[in-house]
Order: sequence, then structure tokens, then C-alpha cells
Amino acid sequence: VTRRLAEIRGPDDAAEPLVRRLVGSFIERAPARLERLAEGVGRRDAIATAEAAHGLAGSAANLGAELLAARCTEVDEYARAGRLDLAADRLPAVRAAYAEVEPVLRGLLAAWRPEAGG
Amino acid sequence: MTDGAGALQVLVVDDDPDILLLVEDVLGRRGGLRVSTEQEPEAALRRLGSTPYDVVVTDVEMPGMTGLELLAKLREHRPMLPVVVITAHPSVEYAVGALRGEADEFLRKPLDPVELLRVVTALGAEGRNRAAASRQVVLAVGAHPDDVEIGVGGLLCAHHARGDEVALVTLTHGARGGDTGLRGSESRSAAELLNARLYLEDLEDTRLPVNDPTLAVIQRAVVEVRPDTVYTHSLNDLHQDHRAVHQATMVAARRVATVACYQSPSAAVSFHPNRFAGIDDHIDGKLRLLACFASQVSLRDYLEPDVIIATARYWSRFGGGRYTEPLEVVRDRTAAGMPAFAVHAAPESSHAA
Repeated sequence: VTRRLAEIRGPDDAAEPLVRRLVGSFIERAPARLERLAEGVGRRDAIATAEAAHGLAGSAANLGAELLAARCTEVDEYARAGRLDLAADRLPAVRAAYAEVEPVLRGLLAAWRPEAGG
Repeated sequence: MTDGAGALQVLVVDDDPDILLLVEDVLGRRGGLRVSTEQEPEAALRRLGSTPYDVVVTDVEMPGMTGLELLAKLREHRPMLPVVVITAHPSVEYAVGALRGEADEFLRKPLDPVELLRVVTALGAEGRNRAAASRQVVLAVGAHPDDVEIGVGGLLCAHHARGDEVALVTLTHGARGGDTGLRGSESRSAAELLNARLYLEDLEDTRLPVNDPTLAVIQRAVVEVRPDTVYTHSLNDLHQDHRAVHQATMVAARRVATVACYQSPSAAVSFHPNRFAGIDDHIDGKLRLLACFASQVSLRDYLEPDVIIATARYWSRFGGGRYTEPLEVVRDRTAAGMPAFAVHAAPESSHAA
């Protein structure tokens, strides 16, 4: 994550607010997106499941949350293949990957906050 | 990141607002490009109809319309516009689909900011060079304010959207139709929407002669603008000014490669078009142009939007699509003379005015 955020930031300190905004937006939106993913699986709606998984995979990859992106991509591919049973099986792995990366992102946000306030 | 024509204009389409933020920051703030963003592909297509973007960056997977479908629609109207397709999807099937759809570049998410800026800047510069090589100069000649906008407003919007240079000649301020100062400013507003050079003269309304000064005004515009294509009134028209302008333009534009005549509300039943320009993406632009002539809308029922729309809809029975502007082609010496984006030949025997 830190490597990817450094890549987004580049050599330019002026990109710092963008990085904070991206991380903040991701944390804010992720619970609802996980919920939509679970609902899609629950309804056995392959399209909704694939869309939700694909969207979350893209956002996670954008921040360098590679494990979460990979888990979401698995669900996306199973949903596209019509294997909602396998997609459902992988849902806990998605949640676990999010649970792993969320504190990292929150930690980064908390570390930045004093600067933002100042 | 700029050249003589200003910063590159980029349209970015992605349903993820965070990706839009990132791309906007990289291309806009860091790269100095002019960036517009859209989350909805349909809205992006509408923007493409009215703004001459240099590059489009689009996601592949979006609800409603995929990036590949967007690419196909975009290619129908802007075949040369550089398009960068981005996706998080790992499947090569998408990459192959994008390349078959003639995407110029395919970038994987997560986007590398340095790579993104490099690719978009290079494609934009290349696209501008290509566009400059195929850029047309178009001159539309009308007797009164709003004549050319009624006749070929959609086509002029299409020329503007593909980056062609547009110039307009309006020979009178239309004194018979109201305050000349107001009508002049209305003409200027419409010209601004097309970024067009406007030759606005003040010859005597309803009494335009075929020879000078009418001829001299049109001739000066032709010499200065050096158009590839001239649009003007048809001879098959009941209004004496329109016929005079047609005849004067035929002389002034005698060396212009392509000359075509548009339909006016006063067109005679003998108006006999042989080309049909599809303006599906530009009917809204045409209505925006005509809305500039507010002083006339309450006086002239032919300017009411439903009449404009119904007329364009009617002609689509020959031109295909949904909205069409009819033209009598007098001369088309070059294969590239008539805009390839929109023209259909008449379904029956051809007729030159």
C-alpha cells in the first residue's frame, strides 16, 4: 500500500491531499460496497456480483491493496462464469482481506490528520 | 503539454469517482491538460458531440454501457480520435476486444501516473497532427441572421466537433425581422458557439443584389478563409435574397472544391437534395445555435424547436439515423470534400442544382 501511495504521490508534495482523499473515500465507501457484493451473492445475481466485485477490485488495486484486489477478482471471475457457489465460498476471504488492509489505511489517515488540520 | 492550439483536451470516463480523481489530478494538475470527467458513458457521448476532445480515456467495465461499446459508438463519429482503454480486468479477452475496437492504447489498473501522462500526451499530440492534416475549412453563407444555422446548424456543429475551422457570412442584419443591433449580437453569439469567424455585413435586407456588394463580400470571405467546402442557399427558394446569395456564391466559390446548398424555410417544392448529412449527435447543438436567435423565435414559427426537430426527423427517411440535414450538392471535386462522418447519397438518381 505504501509503495503504491508513494507512486501516486510521485515526487510532488502537492499530490498529498489527493492521496488522503483517495484513502478516505475508499474507507468510507468500502463497507457499502462489501454489502452490495454480499447481497449480489445472496440473491444469486451474477451480474450484480461481478459488478460489485470488479468495482471493489479496481479501487483496491488503485491503492495498492493487492490481496483485497486479488480476492475480489476471484469473486468477479467466478460470478462471470456463473459459479455463484464458488463466489460465495470466496466471500469470507474478501472480508478477511479488507479487515487486514483497513487498519493500515486508517493508520495512514490518522498519521496524516494533524498535518491536514495544521 | 501544450502547443499552438492550447492544452490538450481529455475526456475521462470511469464509473469509479476515485479513479476520476486520480486521473484528473495526474493529467490536469500535474500534466497541465484540460480534463473533463464523466461517470456515465451516455453523458460522455453527449459531451463528445459538442467538444473537440483530443483524447478519450475510458474504463472497460461500466454499468449501462461497457467501454468497448462506448469505443464502438465513438468510432462511428470520431474515427481518428485517440482512445485509451483502462481496466482492472485481468482477462486478455478484454485487451483483445479493446484493440479490435481500435483502441490506441490499453492500460491496466492500477494506473501508473507517469505512464498514464506519457501515453495520453503522446497520443494527443499525434492525434492533433493527424487532425491538422485532415482538417477542413468550411464557409457557410447566408442572407440573414439564422439562415445558415437553420440550414446546416447541425452539420456546422459536427464540423466544429471534429476540429474543422468554421467561418460564417451573414450579408444583412435582417432589418425586416427586428432590431438590427440585437440581431447582430444574436449572430455573434451563435458564431461563438461554433468558435467561428463571422463576416457580418449590413447590406439592405430583402434587396440583395446578385452582383456587388453581395458578390464582393462573399468573394472576400472566400479569399481570406480559403474554404474546402462552402454551404449556401439553394436556387430553389422563394426568397429573392436567398436566390441572390446562391448566385453570388456560385461565382465567388467557383474554385472551391465542394459546394452544397441547404434548405431554408422558404425553400420551394423544387428543392431537390441529393446528399443527406446525419446529425443525430448534433441536433441538440443545432437547437442551441438557434436559441441564440431569441428575438425571432416568437415571430417565426419555423424557428420553434419542434419544427426544427420534425424537419430533421423527416429528412432522416433518406439519410438514415434519426436526424438529417438535406443538401443539394453542386460540386464535390474531392473524395474528402464532403464530411465523411455524416453523409449519405440520395437513394434515387442524383440531381445537381
